[in-house]
Amino acid sequence: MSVVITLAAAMLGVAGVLLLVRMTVGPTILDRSVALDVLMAVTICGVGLHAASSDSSVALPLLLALSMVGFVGAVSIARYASGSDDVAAEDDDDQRGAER
Amino acid sequence: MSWTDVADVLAAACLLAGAGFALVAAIGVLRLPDLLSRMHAATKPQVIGLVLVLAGVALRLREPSALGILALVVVLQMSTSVVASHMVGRAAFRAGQVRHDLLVVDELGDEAADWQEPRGAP
Amino acid sequence: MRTRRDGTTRPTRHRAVQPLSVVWLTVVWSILWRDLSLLVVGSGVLVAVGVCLVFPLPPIALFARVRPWPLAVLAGGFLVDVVRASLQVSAVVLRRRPVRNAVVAVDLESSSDFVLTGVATILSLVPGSVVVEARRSTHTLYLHVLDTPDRARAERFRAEALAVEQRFLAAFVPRDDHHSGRTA
Repeated sequence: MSVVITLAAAMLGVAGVLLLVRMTVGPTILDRSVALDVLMAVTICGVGLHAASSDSSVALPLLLALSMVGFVGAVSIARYASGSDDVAAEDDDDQRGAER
Repeated sequence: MSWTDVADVLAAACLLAGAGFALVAAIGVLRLPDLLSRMHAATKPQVIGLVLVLAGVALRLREPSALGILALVVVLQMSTSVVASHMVGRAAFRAGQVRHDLLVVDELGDEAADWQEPRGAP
Repeated sequence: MRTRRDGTTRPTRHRAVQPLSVVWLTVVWSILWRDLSLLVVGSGVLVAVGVCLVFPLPPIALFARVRPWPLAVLAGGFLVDVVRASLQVSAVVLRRRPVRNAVVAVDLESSSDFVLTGVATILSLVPGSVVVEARRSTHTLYLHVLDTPDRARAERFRAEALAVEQRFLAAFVPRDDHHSGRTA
């Protein structure tokens, strides 16, 4: 079992490094937010791996918190990057689509 | 060979496969050419990687109470990652972050042309 | 909207405490406590009612009933799709050939918002397709699809998306079309 845990942890570590590279080179803020999202999923997998290796369920509430708040960053970055924080304008788009 | 051994072997297989999917997804996020393609790779660890790793954890812990929390984690992660991926995808399209030379069919591009000027994400 | 006697209107108030959300919140509460004793469930109901009163939400009453067997078919099809699409996306990532994509418009048959949301959720959870834009007025989903070398592949994806909608409609029988947003 410990071999498997080590191997899986190594894979997750390499994945984290690759995602950090993507986060560093960008090129836009949306690329970085996608990489951050995947890094959050990798973190959840890592905490799960720790729970499996130590055979304790102490860390499971941490998983719950991570999965609940992980998307807030991506949503706010997307809101910022789309350039329009005006809900009324987006509804307007929708209406124009309907008229056409 | 008791059933705990079988569960351990299954758990090991699930953990390895989940970590493998996460690794391939990270390679995809690094390698694929444009933002929306990278988002396809990003969906993978959030759904199948997470389910596999958490199934491995459940098989290893073998507690009914932990099973509830793990199922809740899967449900929450799935429902929130949908919101995030839709918001990021829409922002990418509206900000003109799409490489149109990679598109074979584009049924939104001509309609979206008169929505607004591409603002260009910072 | 509801009209008062003096002719002014005010928004319709709905009951803040809905049974479904109370049940869901109680389930989450007892999962968090990792216990199913009477004390936990009782306090969970109290907390759920309190949460519903403090943060009221409009009710979701968009489908009439759930059919268990088609729901199982929908879930099974979703699992098969996720595994298959994950392997496909992995193959795309690991091969050397450059990738071509497409943006496909899928016009849903049903005109209910609930179906639109459900189908969009399923399609974006399956790797290989991302919902780029959803237009509520015409019930159209615009999806970015990975690895579509030609137009035939895009058509095939459109057929698959419509098949997902059919499975969804079989599992969740919609009420009527009188609440349809097609004219809105």
